[in-house]
Amino acid sequence: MTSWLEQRPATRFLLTVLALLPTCFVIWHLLGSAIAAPSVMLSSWILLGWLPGQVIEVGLQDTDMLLVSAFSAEASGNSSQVAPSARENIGYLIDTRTLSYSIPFYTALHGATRIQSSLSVYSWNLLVLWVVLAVGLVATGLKDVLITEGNVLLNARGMPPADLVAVAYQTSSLLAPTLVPVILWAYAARRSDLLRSLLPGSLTSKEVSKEDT
Amino acid sequence: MARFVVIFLGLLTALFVLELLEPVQQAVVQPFTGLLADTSATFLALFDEQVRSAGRVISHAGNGFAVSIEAGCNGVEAAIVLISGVVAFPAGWKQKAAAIVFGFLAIQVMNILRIVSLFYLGQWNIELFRYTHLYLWPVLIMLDVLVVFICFMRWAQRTA
Repeated sequence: MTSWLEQRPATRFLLTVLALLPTCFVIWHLLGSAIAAPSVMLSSWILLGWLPGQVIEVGLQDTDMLLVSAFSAEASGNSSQVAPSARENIGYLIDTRTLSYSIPFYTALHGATRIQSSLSVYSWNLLVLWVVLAVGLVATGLKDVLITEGNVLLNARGMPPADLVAVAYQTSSLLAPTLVPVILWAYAARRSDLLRSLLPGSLTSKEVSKEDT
Repeated sequence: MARFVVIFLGLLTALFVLELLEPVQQAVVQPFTGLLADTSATFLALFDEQVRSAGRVISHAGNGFAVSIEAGCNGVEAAIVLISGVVAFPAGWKQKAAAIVFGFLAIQVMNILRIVSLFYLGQWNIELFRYTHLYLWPVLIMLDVLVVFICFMRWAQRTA
C-alpha cells in the first residue's frame, strides 16, 4: 500500500490532506481566540491609525473582533448592533473564524506535502495568512460601519469609496480564505515531487536549473 | 511561471469583478442560483416530499426550516478560480474547454451535496450547521477545485 502511494504523489497528497483536515480544524477550534489575536492586533493598529475619528477601540472578545465606532446608537437610530461591552457607542462583532479557517486549511495542505525547510516555510506563510486575515477584518469592519453610518463614514478623511470597501470585503470573505492557502501552498511546494510531476517544463525549467546549480 | 501568474491573477480579478456587477447578478448569477435551489430541492424531494423551493429559498413545509442560497454559496467563485487556473495553464484549448465544463459540473455536484447536507444538518443541530456552513464546506469546495485542477494538469502532461 505504501509503495503504491509512493508512486502516486497526487493521490497520496489528497488522501493525506483529507486525513489531516479534521485534526487541523479541531486544533484551530481549541486554540479559540489565540489564532486570530495577531491579526486583530494588526487590524487595531491599522484602523486606529487610519480612522482615529471614526474608530475608538478594536479588540478581541472570545473569537470575535469587537470594533467600537465613534458613532452613538442614539444618533444613528440603530441600536441593534450594540455590543455588550460598548456603553454609548455602536460596537460591531466580527466573527474572526469566518476568515481564520484559512489557517487549518493551509496547515493541512502544507502537512501533506514534502517541503524543504518545512517549519521555516510554514512560519513565513502563517505570517502572510495573519496579514491577509487582518486585511479581511479591516474590510469587514469598514463594511459593517458603512452599512450603519453610510455618508457619515464616507465623508471621513482617508475613507475609500463605498464600492472599493464592498469589493475588498467580498474578496476577503469569498475568495481569500480558501484561495490564499492554495496559492501559498503551491508556491511553497513548487519544487516538491508532486508539483514537479504535474507541471510542464515551461513552468518548472527555471526553478529546476536554479536548484541544479 | 510569471506568465501563468499574470494571466491567472488578471483573469481572476476580471471575472470576480464582473460577477459582482449588478447587471451580471440579475441576468446570470441570481437565475443560476435559483436553478441551483430548484435542483437541490428536487433532489431533496426524492427523500422528503415536504421540501419546497421558491427562488433561492429551500424550505421544509413540516417544520418551517428554510435555507436561502446566497452569494458565496452557489459555487460561482470556485468556478471562477478554476476557470482562471485552467485558462492560464499551458495546454490545448480543447483540453482547457473540457476541463472547464467538467470542472464546473464537479463543483456544482459537490455544491448540491453541500446544500443537501446543510439542509438536513440545520434541522438537526443549528450550531453544527453554522460551523459546517461557514468554515468546513468552503474548504471542501476549494479542495474539489484543487482535485479537478490536479487531474487537468495530469491529463495535460500525459497528452503533451
